[in-house]
Amino acid sequence: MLLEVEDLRVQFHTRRGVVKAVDGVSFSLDRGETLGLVGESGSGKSVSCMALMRLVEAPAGRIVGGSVRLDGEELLDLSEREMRQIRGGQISLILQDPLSSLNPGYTVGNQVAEAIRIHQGLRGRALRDSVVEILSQVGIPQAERRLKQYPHQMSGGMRQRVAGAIALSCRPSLLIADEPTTSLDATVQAQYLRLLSELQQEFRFGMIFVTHDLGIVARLCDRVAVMYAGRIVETGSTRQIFNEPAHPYAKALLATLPSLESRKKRLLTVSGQPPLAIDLPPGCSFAPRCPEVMDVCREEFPGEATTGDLHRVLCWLHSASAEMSLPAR
Amino acid sequence: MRRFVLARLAQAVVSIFVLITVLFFLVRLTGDPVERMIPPQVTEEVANDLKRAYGLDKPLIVQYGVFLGGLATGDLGTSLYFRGRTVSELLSLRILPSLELSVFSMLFALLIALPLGVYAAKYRGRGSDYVARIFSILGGAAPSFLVGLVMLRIFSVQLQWFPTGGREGLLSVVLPTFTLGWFVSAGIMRLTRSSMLESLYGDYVKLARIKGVRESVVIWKHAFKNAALPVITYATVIFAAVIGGAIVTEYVFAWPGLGSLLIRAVIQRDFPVIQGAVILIGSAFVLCNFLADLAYAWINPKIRYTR
Repeated sequence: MLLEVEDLRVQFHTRRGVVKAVDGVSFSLDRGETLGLVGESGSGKSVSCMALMRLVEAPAGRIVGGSVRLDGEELLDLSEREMRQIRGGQISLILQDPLSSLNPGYTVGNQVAEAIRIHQGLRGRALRDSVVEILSQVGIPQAERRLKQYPHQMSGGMRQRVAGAIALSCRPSLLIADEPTTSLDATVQAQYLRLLSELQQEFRFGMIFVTHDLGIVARLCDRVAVMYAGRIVETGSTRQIFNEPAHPYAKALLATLPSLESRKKRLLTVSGQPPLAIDLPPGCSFAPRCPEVMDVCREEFPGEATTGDLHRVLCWLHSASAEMSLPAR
Repeated sequence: MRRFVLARLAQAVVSIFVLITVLFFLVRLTGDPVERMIPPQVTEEVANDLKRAYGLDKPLIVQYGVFLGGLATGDLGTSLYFRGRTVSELLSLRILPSLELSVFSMLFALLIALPLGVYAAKYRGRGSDYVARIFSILGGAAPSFLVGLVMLRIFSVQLQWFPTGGREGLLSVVLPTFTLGWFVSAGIMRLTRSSMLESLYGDYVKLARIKGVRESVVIWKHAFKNAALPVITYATVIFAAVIGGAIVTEYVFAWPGLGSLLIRAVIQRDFPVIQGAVILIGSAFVLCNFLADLAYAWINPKIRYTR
């Protein structure tokens, strides 16, 4: 297994109280595999990703528990110095907005070179060649000429390719893409996703793709983890989640997908607001919005239930039936 | 780039021209300089002779023409108060001490304020942040004359480490530099801190950390370069102001700078000296702004001066 995350917990200490942004998240990922991490804004997707790199904003934010193992090595035990070797070297992350994630004050060449210099120790000619190579690999035409350009002289799509080049420049084994296409227009987005898949086949990295676009998930991901209020409420293969969603939240999310066949004139939404992670209800955090809510949902948090091969869900609807059906199998 | 420089130069000439024109007429509203030169019992005839001698009897517009004519040939006129000495001569004696004090104070201020501001931002809300902010509030709030006098009392009178005033040797610069520099550093530090706070939470800083860049490099290479822009603007404006405006500090330490020359000229209605000093300070101001613009282009490549 490339990545094993167990019971990861991240808290933010604010003036209004402790926010449990990530509350016991577990998942695993293989090389060459893509996991889609979906959920509404504020569900803890981005924080989970930053926590994998141990880049939760201190002092307010802290990883308070759990385990993150990369190729069997426990990352939470590493020193800050060792962790810097991992960041950009073995784990890379592409941020959402290419406009703001590149430094406006340095040339593109400089910014790509920085990671390679740190992790591979290349200098001079070799460094330059390496930068040109990775820029061409992410599909930037005339890479040689682009080295001296500044981010503002490039289009959004090109900038996001540069961000991709930075992330992949040191051949990471794990790539986290945090909604990397939300600020791109549809055609550029499609090109970029194709590029990511091609690069993944070439370099065999594991990928965590954070998004709230289920269309992208269907196209790109092998498995899906649905996050709600700091927890993964359902996980399974993309086929399982799309064909037989078990958690009412996952069902609701899927229902929001506009399809060509549907004659409905209005776009559906998941009704209600996601809870503030600051004072979560005692039971299931989705209970207040859940169309299938039962009494037990409001009182106690559901345990994990397995509804199929590697298909797991946190929901009372399935806990009971799963327990009863298990011995029968 | 060349077009930008030329355009800027033309702009500078126009601004200075407007400045001296307004100034020329404004100072003449303050009264008659001859009154200050002669005892009250002198007859009007003598006073008129004096006016004639200095060309003050002519209509304003003629005086203005004479002034511009002189200016065109580089002649700033003769002082009314320091009789027989040309304005250029007086200014040239004062410009060096003024520059010396302002350069030293500025260096001192930057050396203190930049690291302090950066680390205050980095450790926002913690002890070092509060120390830095108190240092800056005191520097900005304590009047220069008070700081100067306290410095003098402790370091010159009691400890006798530094001279009490004047400009002799390197030691004499220390106390005025500290007094003026502390005041200047207050604003720079606060601006650096707030600008860094904004920059430190930027995505490109996040990306630098994601790349595995060392924290000190994250701060100084990635965050600081982008945070420096407003600080540079402010620092150059302050620098220009300090060259001619360190009047209180100059006074406390008997520093022979432009500020004290200007204040005396104003009191004595020494029109030519006031005009000369303001032209000089105004030019320094324009020059500093020009340099700030050049620094912008270096820091933020988005600002291109090709047009």
